[in-house]
Amino acid sequence: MNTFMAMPLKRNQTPFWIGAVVLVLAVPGLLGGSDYLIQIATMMALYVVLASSLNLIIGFTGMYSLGHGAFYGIGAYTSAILAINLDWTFWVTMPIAGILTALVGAFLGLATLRLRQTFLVFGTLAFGEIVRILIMNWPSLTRGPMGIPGIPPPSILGFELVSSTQYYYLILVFAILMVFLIFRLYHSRVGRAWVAIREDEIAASSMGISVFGYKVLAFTIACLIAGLAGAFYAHFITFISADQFGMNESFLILTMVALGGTGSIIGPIIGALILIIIPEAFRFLAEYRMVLYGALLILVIVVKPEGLAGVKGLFAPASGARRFSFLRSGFSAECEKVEGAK
Amino acid sequence: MILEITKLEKKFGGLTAVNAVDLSVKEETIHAVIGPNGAGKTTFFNNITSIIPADSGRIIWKGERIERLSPQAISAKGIARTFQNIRLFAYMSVLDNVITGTHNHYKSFVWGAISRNARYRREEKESRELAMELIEKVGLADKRHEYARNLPYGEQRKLEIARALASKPKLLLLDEPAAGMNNAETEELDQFIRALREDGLTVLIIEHDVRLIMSIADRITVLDYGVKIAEGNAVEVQNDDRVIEAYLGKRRA
Repeated sequence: MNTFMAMPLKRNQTPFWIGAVVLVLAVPGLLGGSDYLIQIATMMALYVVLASSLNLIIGFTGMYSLGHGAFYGIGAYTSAILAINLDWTFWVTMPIAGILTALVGAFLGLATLRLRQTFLVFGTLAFGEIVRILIMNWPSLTRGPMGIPGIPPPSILGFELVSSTQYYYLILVFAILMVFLIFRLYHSRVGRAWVAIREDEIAASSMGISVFGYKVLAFTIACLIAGLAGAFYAHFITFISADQFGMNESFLILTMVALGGTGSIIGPIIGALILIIIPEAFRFLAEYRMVLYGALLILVIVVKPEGLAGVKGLFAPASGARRFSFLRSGFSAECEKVEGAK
Repeated sequence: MILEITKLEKKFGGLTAVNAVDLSVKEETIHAVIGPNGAGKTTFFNNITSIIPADSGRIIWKGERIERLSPQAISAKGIARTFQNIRLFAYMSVLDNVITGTHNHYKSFVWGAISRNARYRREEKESRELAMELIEKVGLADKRHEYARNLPYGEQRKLEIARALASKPKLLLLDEPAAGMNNAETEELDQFIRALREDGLTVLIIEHDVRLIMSIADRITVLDYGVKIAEGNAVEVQNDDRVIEAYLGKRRA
């Protein structure tokens, strides 16, 4: 079965898959479908970006982040506030949103990435909640629980993008660009350093890789991309509020990566597509579709722990002996302590 | 002397794993560190590569103190190592494992990776060629696209050596390279390590395979309970009373 999935780095396949996904994304636009379908397609493209960026942290570098929704939110709020209060154009506020989010991400990374895995999970989870609570309780800047309505749409050469089809293509281009960027990073010296860290931090450091530096780098780039996605989202949906970027959002993105596959380019894309389609396709089941959603997730985790098209699962052992590494004691734990203290 | 270690000491709680060990390694020699299980050999290696820094003592590499440097800085100085409990990048191809070993020699970063500029392309080509050369040298060329985790044990050890060599080290630290190898493979390893010395590399090796050690080592240091109990060439060490005692127990009078 699926021998090609198990082969590492078959370069000729990934562009093919990306092409196929592009085609799928382009279908609603080509068919001139209903606004409803096009909106769903737009959300798919956005979530492809979000899941792919989280995959940089989780799938490539082997760290955890349960606060990705918060970075998405920081990007969205930054761009919205600048656009409304200062009347700046989207093409200025969007990059600023990305850069600010990256700075926040780098700061959080510098503070938390020396933590061992379990503590990093809690650190990022707490950070996500802090951001949400901050947005709720800073009305002079964020309008608190009322949210920010009336975010202006972007314009290209004085021509405002108002129809959903136009917006769909804008976000599609953005998504392709971001996936391409991640693809190139992955297949490079930087990507190899990330994967090396995921596989074995001690071996990576004795190969001359600055473990902490590359971790912060992965975290920062992932946050930059999430922040950009947030800006695109805010100007697309025109109304944002704190509850859109809470814990649920972080978990949704995480689930997309886990379901689609960690550590590959195509995995998070598949995950994002499936998890946007399912709630829409099974609307007739009302709340029961969440049961379906849960059952699917459990099935995948049991049958294919690395996700549908992933390289290595979240809890996969590096080699037979290293299963349940958190229970390790003695010498190697000592090594990691020392490593962590550096 | 390319590497000079004086009074190196490392304690884990009440246990002194490395106790005031002095060691001098001459350039372009094969220097072995042997000793019974738990003698502190691996800790000694971890001290040299700073994976577990020593508590006290000096490590002088080409006249420069390195005991306070980070593992990546030590790697950049030209010291590479393998691990007793193999530490390959399991979910990475054989080729990428070795290419990762070249990390130190190149500078391409985020912008190079995205733009694929001339420098990036040159560096990728160079590192790929060097990696392929080393993979062929250890006989894994036809397995270069396999995940490292799918290789049999002996080949994983070879791959680890190839990865260490990819950083073009001056000093190679081998931690039990023959463990899990059969006789033919050990014989091959023997030739391989000799060839490395001919190429101008200095090798510091921990090994339990006595025949291999006696065959290749120019100089042997024996540790027991963290203390250096003997040093010399193969014949001298074999006839040393303290060494015999450490391995077999006291001779009855």
